[in-house]
Amino acid sequence: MKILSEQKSLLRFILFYALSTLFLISILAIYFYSNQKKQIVDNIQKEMQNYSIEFVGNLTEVHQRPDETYYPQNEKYRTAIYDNNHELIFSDFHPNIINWSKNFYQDGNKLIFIKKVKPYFLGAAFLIIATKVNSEPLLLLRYNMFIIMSIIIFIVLLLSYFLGRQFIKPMRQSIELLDNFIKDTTHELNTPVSIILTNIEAANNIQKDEKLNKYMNRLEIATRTISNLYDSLTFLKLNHANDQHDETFNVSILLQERLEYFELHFESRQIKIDSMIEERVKLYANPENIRRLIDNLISNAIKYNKRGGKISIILNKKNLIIKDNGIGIPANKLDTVFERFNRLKNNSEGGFGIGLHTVKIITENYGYKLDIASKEHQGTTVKIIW
Amino acid sequence: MVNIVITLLITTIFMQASSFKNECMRCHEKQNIPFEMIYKRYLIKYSSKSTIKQAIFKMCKNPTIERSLVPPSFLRRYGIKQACTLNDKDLYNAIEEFINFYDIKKNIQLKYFDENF
Repeated sequence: MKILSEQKSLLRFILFYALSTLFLISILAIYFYSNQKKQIVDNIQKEMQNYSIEFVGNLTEVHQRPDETYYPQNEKYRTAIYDNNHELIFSDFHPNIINWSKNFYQDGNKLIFIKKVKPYFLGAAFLIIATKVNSEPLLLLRYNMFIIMSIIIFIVLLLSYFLGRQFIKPMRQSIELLDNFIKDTTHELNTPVSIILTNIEAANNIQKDEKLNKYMNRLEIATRTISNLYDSLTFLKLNHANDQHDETFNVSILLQERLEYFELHFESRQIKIDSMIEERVKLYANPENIRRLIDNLISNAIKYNKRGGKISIILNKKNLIIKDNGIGIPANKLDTVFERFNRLKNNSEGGFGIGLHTVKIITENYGYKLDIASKEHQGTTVKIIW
Repeated sequence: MVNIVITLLITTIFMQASSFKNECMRCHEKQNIPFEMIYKRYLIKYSSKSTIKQAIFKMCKNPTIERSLVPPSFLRRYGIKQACTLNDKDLYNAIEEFINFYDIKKNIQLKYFDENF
């Protein structure tokens, strides 16, 4: 899980860093492209303007010649002359409808330049110069920009990866420190907890008075709670999720056993159990993991229930439902309940906040669907669909 | 009867068609005033056929120095022209004929026409 959360943080950082940098670079690239495009178009317009001056000079000559003469033509441009009523006088191509409100514009794949002429040589009040759009410089520009952008994206991704690694280094160290602490603690807890439990079981066989019996029960509950905690911590620390010894087993029996195991807890909190356990429900999984899953769900249902509350347990071939009518989970915390070390209560009853996290790991490991529904002060329903 | 009608019709058409040549051109040629140059002067100043027609019509009906487009040396030598005696219809037809006769497009040729542009 440590690796997952680390990867998640790294990925988030890379995404955020790369996207924000790319966004900035894209804006600059768009600006650069528009500027370059404008410059190319401006150059074309300038060339057309220069040609218009040359053309008007030729037009003057044609106007003044008394004999037959040729209309001024150029291989690069097509021209048309219009009178002051916008009626065509002469042209060397079929002009489309002219947009007289502009003096330079693009019409399909043509660039149109309009020049007002005065005096009206040959009666021409307007000269239209048309040329086909030469897309080659723009294509070259796009190609160059694509290459440059690709290199930049690669560098940004590489840089964000290395920067991300540097930024999460302290987080990784903190997690490692915490994990080591848990590892040491659990190691130190193992022997005394086992001794206490063995001795409680031995003492249970001795005839005791009712008061002593009550103290012993409390002692047993507390020790089992520590034992469960120890179990969950070692499971997470040693990542037993990958340690698969799967087999087909009867979950109905396992659930019954776990309910008996928690009987003292139920009694101490005066919690009523309402169970509907279908017989011979079988699963192919590691029974230890399913036991952990059930234990954590029941333990949570007890922990976050009120004294004298109720827990409903339904088991069938499709799913396992554990429902309590306890304190419930606020809607804004529902998304984070499965995160490690996330506790609903900050007092000692809240535990380490690893119960639902363990449940999530186990369900994900076996591909079960995990649903949680909760209403504050009304209770929580956890549903596991096999 | 039919012959009379046809003769009258032909005469009318002939009369109308030739009013420019008979009434305008004949006089201009006699006085050695180049008509084509006048047309080009109108063209250079008024651009479109409709505005040229109106300008010539006004000049013919009521000639003034301001309306005249001939060079000042011409005016000094020949003075301002007399007002035209043709009726409006005949004058319009004569102007139309004048413009078509000297239409500049007739003298211009293309080396190539780009059909596919």
